[in-house]
Amino acid sequence: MIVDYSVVINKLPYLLQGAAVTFYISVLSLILGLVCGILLALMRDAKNPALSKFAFVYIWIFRGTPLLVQLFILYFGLPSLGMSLSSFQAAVLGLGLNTAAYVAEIIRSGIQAVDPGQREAAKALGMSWGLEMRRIVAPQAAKICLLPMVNQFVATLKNSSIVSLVTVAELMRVGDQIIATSFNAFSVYTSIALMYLIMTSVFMVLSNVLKRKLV
Amino acid sequence: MSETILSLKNIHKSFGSNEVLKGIGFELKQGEKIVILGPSGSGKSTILRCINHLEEFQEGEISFKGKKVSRDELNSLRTHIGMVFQRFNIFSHMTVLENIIEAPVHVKKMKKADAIELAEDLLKKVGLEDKRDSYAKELSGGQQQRVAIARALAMQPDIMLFDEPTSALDPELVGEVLRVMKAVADAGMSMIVVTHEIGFARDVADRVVFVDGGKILDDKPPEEFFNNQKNERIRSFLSKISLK
Repeated sequence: MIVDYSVVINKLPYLLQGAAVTFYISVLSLILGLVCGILLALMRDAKNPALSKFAFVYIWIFRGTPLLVQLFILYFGLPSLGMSLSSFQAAVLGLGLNTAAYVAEIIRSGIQAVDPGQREAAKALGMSWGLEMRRIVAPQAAKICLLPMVNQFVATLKNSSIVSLVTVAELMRVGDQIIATSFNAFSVYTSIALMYLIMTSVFMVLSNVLKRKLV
Repeated sequence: MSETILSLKNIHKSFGSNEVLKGIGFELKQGEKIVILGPSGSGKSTILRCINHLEEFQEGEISFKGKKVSRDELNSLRTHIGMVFQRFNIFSHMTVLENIIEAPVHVKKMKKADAIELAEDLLKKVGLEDKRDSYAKELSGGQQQRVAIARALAMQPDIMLFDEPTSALDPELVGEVLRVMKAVADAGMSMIVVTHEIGFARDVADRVVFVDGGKILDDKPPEEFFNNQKNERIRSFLSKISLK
């Protein structure tokens, strides 16, 4: 049994670099997921049946298939159609599009939780759909969405470990490489776990600050 | 009285296979006050909701100032028709003042300073000038409903619709809302009021319209309607409601 954290200390710069890549990929995917998720949620709410159906099918597919398979299609599958993505692009796109499906559902449930009377009052005052959404629904739905949204952000950050399998040099992959030469799986994986925990904690602290501001 | 401002012709409305309005038609003249009475489930509220197109109807025609309203003019129509709901529907994330200036500023593009001046004037009229910075949850039902009336009036509408405005209130709060409605009526507003408040109908209405089973059974000035009612169905309704 080898429990020796000296290897972690020796390779710390590499691990930190991996953690930075993890953080970077997660933030980019979250931005992508948030923007697409908001659009999808609005499409689901829209009167136009084509938009609503598109959003439904999107969410159905991206929630109903494994993230790993989605990533493999993007990275290993698309070249057969003549489109190649770098591993980094595939990672951000895959993680982001997957997150979008979940974000859309969170926002949709937030929109539905707003008292319908509030929306009727907005309409009765002559507000357009966009104005009603922006001025009346969004501020109320945001409070309802905050907690599940933080859960989703944490989940996306943790899920980013999967993109090591499309060869992105993020935290998990750097760790695997260190283990391959040092055979010190326990120390390296526990250290990686700690690093993920620190990053997800940052999200939770930020969300608490935001919550105090919103509520 | 003067010209017709709103006219409903043969409105039919179904929810699924359940036809709730079976050919409703009446006219509202400038400055006129109509009170709609009828048992619950008779379609009274649905009539109001069809007027500003919160509900779509399958058949018939509603015209405002002599013009049939098309789909793309809906939002502009609604700026001319104020609506007060049974459950107040004060925007919960905004203060009283913000509630009142919201639509004038964002829909009518009124200058914010002018909207605030208008709002403060209206708050004085409904007796709530000291509540301008309160939120709905800090107000009683009666206060919320008075804010809702001020919010609708801030759009300077041509018509005000009241959908059972006192039905969700504790009995001791009904009077303060009815007084504000009476003041709005006295100021010359054209109004359609769905209510069970017989006293208000007697005092304020120019006409009482009785709806039952999705049809208009009677449409008369209040003296005639209440004092000389021949229809057995309406008499029985009135005797039940006055026993309350």
